[in-house]
Amino acid sequence: MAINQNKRRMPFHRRKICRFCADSSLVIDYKDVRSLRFFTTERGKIIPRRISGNCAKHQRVLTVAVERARKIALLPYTTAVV
Amino acid sequence: MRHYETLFIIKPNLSDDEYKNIVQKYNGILEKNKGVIIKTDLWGVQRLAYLVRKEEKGFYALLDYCGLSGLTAELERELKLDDRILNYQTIKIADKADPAELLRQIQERTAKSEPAATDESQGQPDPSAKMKEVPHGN
Repeated sequence: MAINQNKRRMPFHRRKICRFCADSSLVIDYKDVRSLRFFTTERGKIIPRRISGNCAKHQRVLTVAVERARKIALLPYTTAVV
Repeated sequence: MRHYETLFIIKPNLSDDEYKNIVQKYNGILEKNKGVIIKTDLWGVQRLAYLVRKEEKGFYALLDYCGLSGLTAELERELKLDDRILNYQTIKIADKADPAELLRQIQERTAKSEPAATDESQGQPDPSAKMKEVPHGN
């Protein structure tokens, strides 16, 4: 079983590093819309941790920052249906 | 004292003077309630991510200040009553902050950036220093 799983996952496996841990000079700020947009989809959803590779700690901080930015109309809650 | 930051959106289509007056009004309210203003930042008219009171654009202004716990309640009450304010949000940055220390940090930062900016024209810092002294003399 274990071997099987490994085989299946091998091609997709890529080691992800939390970019906030890697570079401590990066500060998550709700006012910095440009860098927050990097962690949201085109629709305005927050990109999950398993895809962005953030660590739990920084993903939590990031989520709060995105929510704050949404509240003050810097980021969209969602985009209008086209 | 606590360190707070309030970001608020003013209606678009007002004149520059009106924006300045509005921001000054809230700075006055902060000072009246024993708050210490650290920084005010005018971002200018920006596109909003979604419609707020049917407005597509808004003028963003950021107030950075220190104060006691009742201060934000008073400021937000005033912001709420003002028709020209579309939205506001206050964030607590730190529970314990020394306003003098924060002001000094900002001064140091501007002092560091100024020499780099005025490398080409070294005469600039002097006139600005004189300008500041004139109002005191009058």
